[in-house]
Amino acid sequence: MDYLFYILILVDIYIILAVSLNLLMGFTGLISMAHAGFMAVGAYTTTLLLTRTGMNFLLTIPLGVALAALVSALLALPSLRVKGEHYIIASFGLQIILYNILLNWVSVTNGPFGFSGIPRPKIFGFTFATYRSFLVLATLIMLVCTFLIWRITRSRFGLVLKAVREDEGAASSLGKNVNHFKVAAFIAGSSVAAVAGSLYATAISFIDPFCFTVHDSIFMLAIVIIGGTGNIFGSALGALLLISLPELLKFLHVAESIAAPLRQMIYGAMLVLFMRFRPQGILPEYREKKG
Amino acid sequence: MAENDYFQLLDVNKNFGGLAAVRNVSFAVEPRKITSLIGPNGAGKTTIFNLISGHLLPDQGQILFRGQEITAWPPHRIVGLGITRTFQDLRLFQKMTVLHNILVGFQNRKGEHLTWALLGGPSLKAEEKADLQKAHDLLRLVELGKKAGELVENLSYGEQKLLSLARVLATDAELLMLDEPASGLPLGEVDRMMGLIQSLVKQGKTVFIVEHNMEAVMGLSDRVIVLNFGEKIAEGTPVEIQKNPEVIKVYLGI
Repeated sequence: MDYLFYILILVDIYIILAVSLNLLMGFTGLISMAHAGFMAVGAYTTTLLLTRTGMNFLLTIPLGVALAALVSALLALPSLRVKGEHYIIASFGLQIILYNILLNWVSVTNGPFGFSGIPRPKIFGFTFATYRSFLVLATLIMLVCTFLIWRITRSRFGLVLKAVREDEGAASSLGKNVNHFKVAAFIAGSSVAAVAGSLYATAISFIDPFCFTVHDSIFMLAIVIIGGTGNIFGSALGALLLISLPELLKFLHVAESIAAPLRQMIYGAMLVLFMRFRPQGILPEYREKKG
Repeated sequence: MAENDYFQLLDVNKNFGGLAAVRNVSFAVEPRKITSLIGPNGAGKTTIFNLISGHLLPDQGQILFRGQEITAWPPHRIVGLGITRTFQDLRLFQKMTVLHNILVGFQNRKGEHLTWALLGGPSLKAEEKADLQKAHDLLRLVELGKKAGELVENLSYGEQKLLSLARVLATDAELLMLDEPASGLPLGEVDRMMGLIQSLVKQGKTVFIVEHNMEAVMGLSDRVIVLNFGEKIAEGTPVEIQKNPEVIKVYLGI
């Protein structure tokens, strides 16, 4: 059973990542390659605060979010003025920078060794020591994050984001400050990734820079694309599917040395098949017309 | 306020590389009137629209609205002042519904702030309810009431054209700049569009039209400005313009 709970905790974490990335990709049209980097900001913030100051876990989450918001603002303010592919490259650059900070700022991040034995969250005297109890906590936090992002997408703010995605010039001709909306969406979406990082560090109880590479960012992009850009519930479904399906390999008694590359191939094949046969993803932005 | 203090261009210039797209153009638009800017293709009409709306920056010259200089303001601030525009290629939000296209047009809504969007509350609900009502009213005005939930990409060209008019009306701007409002419409719908534009002026709007089809705007306009190769060659009432020998020569090619 513990194994199942563990997988479901990972699903919760990746739902938070995919839903927040979808706010950027699906709703605002900003493809970010730095999502794993922002996740790392949350993971390292929580880890350092828990191990060095013994701060309450729930307090470390908003601090991780705040730091990720700051970092994303530093990227967003100069680079969102550039368009499309230039911005993707800028976010790629930020991902590489964040990764290298984790790897080389040894006095703070412990460099390539990372941190192990990260304590489990303790709230009001209760320690979420088992996977079962941690799953409850992770699911609650996932629901809060998803609800907040769902609210954003349903609001007038979310509508303007879509308008910006469709046509920036037309949106500005209707009185919308396009840069303002892009920066706000980027900060909001990126900082939520830090929440997933905080959960990840305490769930796995081990982090190092290699947990947060550009490959992980691309994996998150794949979840959003396969789930359906512009549909929050598609991202949740995509995370469930892409995290749990490869785990089935374990039951087929495939050796781990084969299972790991096989998993990558499954992701690649799924992405290609979806692009070819269902580019709108599992759950499209709008319901298809009948007939 | 003198009539010509309402809106004016003063010696505006715009070059693209070596090409002078707009050369020393000055004119005024009078409030609650229909002014048309005409000229053959490539005369610089849409460039002038882009300069006014802030989508392009002029190289020289001034643009004034109600005595205030708005030259080189960003587009969203110009809309905030009460000037809005349509595009020749419409530029509707294709993958959004008809209703949502209108809702984006409303100005200064609470729900557009991230904190309001997250917190919600009764005043936000009230605003959204009022906006929905207003949006449906606008859609009925352009006879798209039944299409509110439709994706824009499923509308006919004529319907899209009407929607682009309704969308700029949603901004509640007083100066409407319409880029070729009649082009591409079948004859019957041209009359409907012109009727709509006239009714807007009766409601107190000021309309500034760009049109390459001279006939389409002659019956409608109070004043006509004629451009050719980026320069203003004539300005006057439609009757004066139709008699102007230079206009006949360069514009009609006779």
